[in-house]
Amino acid sequence: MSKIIPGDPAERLTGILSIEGDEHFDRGAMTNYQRTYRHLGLDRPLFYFSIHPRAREAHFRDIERPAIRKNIKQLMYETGQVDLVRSYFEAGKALSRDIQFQLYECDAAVFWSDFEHQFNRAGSKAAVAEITKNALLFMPAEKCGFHPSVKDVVKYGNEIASAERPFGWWVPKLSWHGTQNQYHHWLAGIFSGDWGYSLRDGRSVGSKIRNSIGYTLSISFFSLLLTFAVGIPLGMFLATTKRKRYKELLRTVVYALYAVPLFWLATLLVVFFTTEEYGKWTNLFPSPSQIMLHTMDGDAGFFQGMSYLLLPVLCLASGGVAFVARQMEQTALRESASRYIAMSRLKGNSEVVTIWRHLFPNAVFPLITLLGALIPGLISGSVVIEVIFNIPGMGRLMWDSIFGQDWNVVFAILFIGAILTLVGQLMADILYARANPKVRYD
Amino acid sequence: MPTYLTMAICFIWLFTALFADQLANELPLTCKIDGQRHFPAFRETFSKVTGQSSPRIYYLGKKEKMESVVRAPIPYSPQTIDRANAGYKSPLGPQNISSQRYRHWLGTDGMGRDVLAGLIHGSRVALIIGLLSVMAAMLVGVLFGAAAGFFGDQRWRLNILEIAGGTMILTVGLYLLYLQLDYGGSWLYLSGWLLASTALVYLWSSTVKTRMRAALSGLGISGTMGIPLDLILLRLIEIFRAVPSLFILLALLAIIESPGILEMSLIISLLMWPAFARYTRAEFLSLREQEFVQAAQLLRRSKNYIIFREIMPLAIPPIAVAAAFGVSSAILAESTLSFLGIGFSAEQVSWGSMLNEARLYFRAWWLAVFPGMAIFAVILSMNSLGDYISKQKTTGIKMLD
Repeated sequence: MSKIIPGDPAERLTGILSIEGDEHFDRGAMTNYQRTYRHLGLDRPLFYFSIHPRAREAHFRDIERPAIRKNIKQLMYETGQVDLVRSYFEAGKALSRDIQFQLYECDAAVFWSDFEHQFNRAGSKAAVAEITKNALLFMPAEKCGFHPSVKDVVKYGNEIASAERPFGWWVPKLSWHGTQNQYHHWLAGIFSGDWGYSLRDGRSVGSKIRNSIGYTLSISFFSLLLTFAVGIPLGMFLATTKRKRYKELLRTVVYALYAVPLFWLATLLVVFFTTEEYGKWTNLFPSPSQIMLHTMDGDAGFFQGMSYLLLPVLCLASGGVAFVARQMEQTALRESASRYIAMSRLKGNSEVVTIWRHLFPNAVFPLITLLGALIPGLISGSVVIEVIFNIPGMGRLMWDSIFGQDWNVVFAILFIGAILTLVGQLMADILYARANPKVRYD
Repeated sequence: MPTYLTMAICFIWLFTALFADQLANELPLTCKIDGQRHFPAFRETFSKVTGQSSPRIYYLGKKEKMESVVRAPIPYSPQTIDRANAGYKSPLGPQNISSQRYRHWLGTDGMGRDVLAGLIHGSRVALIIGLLSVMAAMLVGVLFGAAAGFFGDQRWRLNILEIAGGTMILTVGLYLLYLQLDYGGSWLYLSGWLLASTALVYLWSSTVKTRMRAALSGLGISGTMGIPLDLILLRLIEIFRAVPSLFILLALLAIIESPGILEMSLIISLLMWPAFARYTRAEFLSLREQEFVQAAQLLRRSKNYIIFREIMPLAIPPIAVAAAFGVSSAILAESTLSFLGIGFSAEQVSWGSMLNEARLYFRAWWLAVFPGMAIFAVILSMNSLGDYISKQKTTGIKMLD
């Protein structure tokens, strides 16, 4: 998937604006680019195998420059001669590598740099024919003599110019690349703890995530705790109370809380309760910039840290509280129509015993499945919350990486998010089976 | 939430979305230029509907020549920059205006754009996003869910020959598509190949199949295979549930450069179709066991007839509930993304992008409160509409019991 994304990772990491945009690129920058390209392993094929037409090679990833890759592909499609085009390219490369120094002595350097330039952008049979002709015409042979590579270039060039594409060039061919491919290396890296490098600052993805995962996990943990600690009693109260007035009021509040967009709630809290703009007493919580300063230092004590996390946790828990309370109310109402509740009342048990000993355990255990449903929401919510409150957690990292087109980090976080969600669902299933003997997984 | 309030919010929302250009526009509703009557605000709506270029620049150039001008209730467009009132003018404080007619009733943002005009035009964006994404998600989700629920894993049986032929043709087609994209040559190749593969399908369906079937049954190989539609659907839903949806949205939006309303809706609908598929599948699973379906099968009604004419009408109420909640979650998703600054480009005003500005300047409470209230009201009304439908569900399966 990372290969369909615009942008060249090696370009980004070396800080070169565009390899192809600049006509007379710097040779040093080019070397730097090539080195980074190989370091990132971009010269390997993408997957274990590839299916491609017989006319072209499986991949040209050993060639660093994208424009030359494209030219070679076009030449192969046009001639249908894989080996010929390869040899032509290798000869040309050898020529420009070997001869550039040698030719300075016999002032033919201008010609050769011109040749190299043309060679790099020849993407059709006609262009190759043109180059071959020029090479024969203007080669300063009487001064320098023939370099062996020149003969090769001319020979292969002529062959390409006169090549006919064989019938059946479109027949599919399967190439097997073995384990030396990018996917295998990525997968192996993930399981051995090497998550690759961030394309923005060159730090390893693992260390970036390690630095930020603590914040996200603590916010998620506390807000999950708060969600159930408030939501369950609230739902039970709504289901069992006899006082109509309170019930209607609370129900409206819960309903409204369920519909409040998380980011709006957080923005309102930040706008009104972190500054002294609206009166002395409204400056209750540390402002987002304070949070950022202190979390960057890493010297915030436990209680100070708690005071920073209070507002984010409250925001993140609010939607969950409403959700859990509504679910709790529904299951409790459903259970309270059962016969065992009537039986308990008939036996003369007090209302407290009926509700908490008999109704509650049966009503609460379906909520275990909510655990699985809430975790993705927590992870998504942490993006919004961490962006608003400037907490350097995973959500914030995700946001920054997406804006910085730092795909290695983005995919690592996506991967972790998926795993956390799966683990949450698995835990919910296991707990559900433990709590209710009627449920059996075969 | 009382029903009349829900209905009121829905109607106001629809009204502002439909007549946004006439409610808030710096172009006049009607005016005279050189003795001729013009209707610039209506012309603008017309040009948007028909896809012509906007008459905005033409009319803004003729500003001095306009006579007997009738202005819109809010004489600002969402993108109008009122330089005299730039820098966050409060709705309560003094404003630099010539008359009360030009007052910014809900204040301005940092560039001097009117908040109320933005709200009104944002309602149109919200409506389009909500409806478009729900419709796209419904199209995929309901069809897939209905097929999976009705056919299950075994009921859609195909001859092994048909499966083999179908797989072959599909593979060849995919390879040809890849070849076309990779080669980048003329489309002539592709059309030629399409023609060839159509001929292949035709041959396969008529003569070859009968002969091969006879040959195979002579060898003792005959039989059918069930297509595990239900299994495929459930696995797909699981995959979508595994990754947090906001992450998928963020990653997809980062790939697409400068998404418009259409792209945005399609991306959101990509996340919503599993919900529709799940509801429809559950409904079809229970309905297909009912007596009336068996009766229809005895009458030898076609499968299409049973699915779309017998079962689908009874499955509509739960799908409608899901659609109402879908609209609210689509609007929520869009505004969250715009709020994070990832959604639309900066010119496109939506409720979320207005809230994004509130983050930059804490003193401007009006930027935080009003767009948020709009989102809140719409989500609340859509949720209670969903609840209302699910309570009124008398036409569904309950009628049968």
